[in-house]
Amino acid sequence: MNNRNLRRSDLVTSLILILFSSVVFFEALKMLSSTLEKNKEWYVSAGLFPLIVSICLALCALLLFIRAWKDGARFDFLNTSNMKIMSENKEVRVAVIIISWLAIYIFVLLKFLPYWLGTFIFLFVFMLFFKKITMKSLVTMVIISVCTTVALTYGFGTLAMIPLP
Amino acid sequence: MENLLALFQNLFEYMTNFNIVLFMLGATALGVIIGALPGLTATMGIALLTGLTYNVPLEYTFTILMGVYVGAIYGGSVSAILLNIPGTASAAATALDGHQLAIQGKAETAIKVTRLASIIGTFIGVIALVLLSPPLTKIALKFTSPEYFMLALFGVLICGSIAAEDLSIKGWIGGFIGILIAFVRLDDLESIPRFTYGNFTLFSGIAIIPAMIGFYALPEVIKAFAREQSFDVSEAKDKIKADENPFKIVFSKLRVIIQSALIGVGIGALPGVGEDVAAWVSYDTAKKTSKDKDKFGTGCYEGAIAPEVGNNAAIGGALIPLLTLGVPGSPPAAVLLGALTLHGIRPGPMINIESPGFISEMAALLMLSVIALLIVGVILAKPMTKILKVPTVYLMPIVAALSVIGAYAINLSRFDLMMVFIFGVLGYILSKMKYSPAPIVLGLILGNMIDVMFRRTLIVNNGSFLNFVNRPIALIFLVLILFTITSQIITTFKKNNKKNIA
Repeated sequence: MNNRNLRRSDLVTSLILILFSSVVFFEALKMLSSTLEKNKEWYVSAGLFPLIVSICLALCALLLFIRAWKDGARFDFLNTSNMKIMSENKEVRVAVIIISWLAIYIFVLLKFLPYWLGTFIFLFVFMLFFKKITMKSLVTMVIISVCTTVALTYGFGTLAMIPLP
Repeated sequence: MENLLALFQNLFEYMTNFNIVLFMLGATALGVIIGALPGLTATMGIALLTGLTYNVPLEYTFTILMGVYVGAIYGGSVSAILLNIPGTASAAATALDGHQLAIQGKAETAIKVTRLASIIGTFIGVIALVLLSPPLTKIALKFTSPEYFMLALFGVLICGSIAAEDLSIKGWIGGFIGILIAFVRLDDLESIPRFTYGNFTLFSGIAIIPAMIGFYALPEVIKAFAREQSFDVSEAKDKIKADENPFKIVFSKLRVIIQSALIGVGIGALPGVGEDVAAWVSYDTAKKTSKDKDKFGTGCYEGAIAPEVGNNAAIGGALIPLLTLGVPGSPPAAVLLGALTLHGIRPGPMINIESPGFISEMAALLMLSVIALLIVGVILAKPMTKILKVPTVYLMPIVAALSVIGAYAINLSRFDLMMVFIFGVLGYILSKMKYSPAPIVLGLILGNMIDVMFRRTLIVNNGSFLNFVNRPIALIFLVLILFTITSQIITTFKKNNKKNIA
């Protein structure tokens, strides 16, 4: 990410962080008042330190916003053409594919299939996404997926005696 | 002296134990490979193996983890020299001169020189660990709640300032986010759930190892597929015969070695900062103090030696606060903290009473890894060229699958799988915006301690803040915290003003 885009993202992040720290602040305030309602001292409260940290985080976010603004970052980049350019970016596409496939592996494959089968499918399809398909590469992918699955299942399940997910 | 004696006694015992030696050689070789492969780091390697060694006896667990730690920190330099891509962030400075040496046809000598530098660095780090730990443990025994609070807060802030890739403020934001994540649990003092929103699994808090695997492994998997694949791997042999003896080269730079080792130990001992920064500071200092400043970056041995001594000396340095204060000195040491807890070792001032001899055992294992590195380095030097050619498309899916099962193996919890995923995505987004994971992770580890120690101090003093300033050690840390904050804010805005004027 170049410096210009970095500052633009800092501008957005700082606002998200201010919002986040506000939520934490009010949650912590609730905890503090609940402690006081129980006639306990304020410094015993579980909300005390989150309250302080949320203020510190908000201040840092504010400084980040000022710094980004002074460096010339504005919200004018939030338009459809820029969003389209971003969606066509190679890294964004790669990230979306990997994150989605990982989510499927963790929340679907490992939940409904035996570990060995889920892992084999995960590995093989993962390689399939990013490798040009030829007969040789297909055979290599199958061999690597099988060997890795066997190694993981045996290593964790049998050697380390861990009940697999 | 007593401690040095204990170190060598333990070392002798380990060296005569065939299984330990075998495990150490294997782990160091694995570490070198992990470190050399771009995208795989020491932190990731240790985190993944912590899961695998969950049921392994303590002695063997730390043989494996220490071997991987030392091997991986060195391994990064191999790919830095041959590919100009540092295998680990701690080898980034090594690439500047190391790869230039490879281009000049001196790849083999460069690898031998950095290996020797790494060995010397680790050795000095171990000696520092053995010599500095006992006095520090004695000082640490005087620590009470205000000192621990100030130390932990100082750790998160200094780590944020130094490890920040972009603005210091981002490092602090990372640290505060980490601290807030650490609050998601049942409060230790009031015993009420905090930020758990009715989820009972969160009552025991966010598990550190799955979070670290997410933060360190998954972003690297994504980044590896996003970057260009065509690496130009230099052969690990000299193309020109210059009859240069690596021993002579290294020992002729004794000043740089001592200087970099001291920097490495010092920076390693700072909470959370670690090997990456130690390498850069060592390189920078070597350049500034060298007679041949102009040769840096063009392929001079000094430029390859300094960061390697620095980052390996930081290993011993990082273990000093970890073992004596329970505060990790680097991200890999933070994972080691998790591994220690899993195996029932409580690092901190009481370690010599609760686990007598453990520090010298760890030091002996580190020393053994130095010997293992000497052997493994020679064996792996040639095949490394082939290993580095393993395509990302085959390697990274394996890393992803290993991360998932490694995180699950710690607590056998499906919830931890979700944590790996969430922290992986968060880690990737934050790394794209140049937020270093180190302060976040340190905040996550120390957050609960900071909070409990803060409130305990207030409870003991009936709500008075005086105890934070009328105890000398706490006051020193308070001054350091205020200095760190003000100096960083002034620097940030001075830079900004200069930019605006320009």
